[in-house]
Amino acid sequence: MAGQIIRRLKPEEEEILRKREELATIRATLAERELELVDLRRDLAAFEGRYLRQVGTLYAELDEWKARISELRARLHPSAAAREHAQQAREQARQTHEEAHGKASETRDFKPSPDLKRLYREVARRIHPDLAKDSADLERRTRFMAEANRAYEAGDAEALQRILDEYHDGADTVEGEGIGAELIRIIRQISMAKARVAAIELELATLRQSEIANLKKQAEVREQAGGDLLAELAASVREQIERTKKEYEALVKVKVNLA
Amino acid sequence: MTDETKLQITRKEGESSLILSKVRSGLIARGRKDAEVLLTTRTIELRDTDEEGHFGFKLQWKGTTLWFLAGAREIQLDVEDARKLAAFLVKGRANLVWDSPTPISVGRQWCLYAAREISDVYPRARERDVPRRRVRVHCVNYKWHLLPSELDRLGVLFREALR
Repeated sequence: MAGQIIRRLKPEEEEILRKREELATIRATLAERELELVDLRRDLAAFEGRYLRQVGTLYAELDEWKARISELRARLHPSAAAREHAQQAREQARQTHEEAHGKASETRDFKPSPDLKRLYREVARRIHPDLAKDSADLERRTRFMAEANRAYEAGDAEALQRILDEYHDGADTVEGEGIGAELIRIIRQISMAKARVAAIELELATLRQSEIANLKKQAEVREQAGGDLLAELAASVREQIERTKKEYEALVKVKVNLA
Repeated sequence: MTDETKLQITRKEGESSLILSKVRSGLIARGRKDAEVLLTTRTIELRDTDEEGHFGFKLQWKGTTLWFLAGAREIQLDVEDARKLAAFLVKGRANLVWDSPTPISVGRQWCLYAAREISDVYPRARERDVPRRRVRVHCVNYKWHLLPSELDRLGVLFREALR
């Protein structure tokens, strides 16, 4: 090693190295948070789908019987209040049916493999739109990221790998001109990535406080005690349906007797 | 249906950021409330007649253990009667005095009254939003008033215990 000339880095070069390290760290954090968010959203959506199929549809049936009772009562004892009550009950039944049988009920359970998670993390780290250098780059990254999200939610590891390969080969991934320009670009990327991490953390906190997240927590507590909350809720609503049906049948008898 | 909301997160077209929007989701709020009742009722024990001839319920409710006891020989409170009592309680007319100096006679009076009630009063009372008076409960050394919402909950607890 004797006699070797070592070039000392200029202050701006040292700074750019520090900033690159900082960017790499924030990119990794961003990728991790983005994965956490997409997993939580998908997890809650899957639980909501299960709840709507298992319990929501029964609430819809219960509300249908209640609406029939209210309508029959309004015919047996006509009054403005009875008609209004019947209309409200019918509207309630319609809304419950719509919610219970809507698109959200079709969402199925989602169990991403470790490999899929690793690929998604890598995609988010490299392609995330909040790391864009300019508007053209932002557009391209957004398009790739949207495809990556679809691939992840579909559990398609091959598609994720393909997206990574295609993005890597892109000509516009080449870094910009001059140290000053690069430094500015990196500083902006760091700032945007930090803002995005903060936004994700806020979204995560909000999601964790949502109704569906709380219902899921209740189900988990029950599961730890060896129970199945959704099955128990379903049984409870079925019981209410039976009672409501009996009440309806009794009213039908009254109507027949009056006739 | 309640007006409670859930958060729905959707990805904006052409942007990386997520936007939050609130939509009504009464169905989930409804499940949450029912689940809360179901989870609470897990702490109820239906007690068989003991060696002293007592029959009753043990409720773990808001961190307090309540015993609702009646002398089985005198009252003959079978499950059906108790179901009616629960329905009656929820209807909100009772001043229930249990474990008072004359528990049997008072309890019997209320049970007999309750037995005349229709057993499915409970769901209809809720639907019609029957005005409920406060119910005074004496239990061992505890004495307090129940608010209508607490009374409603107590009725659910009774009903669940008697399934």
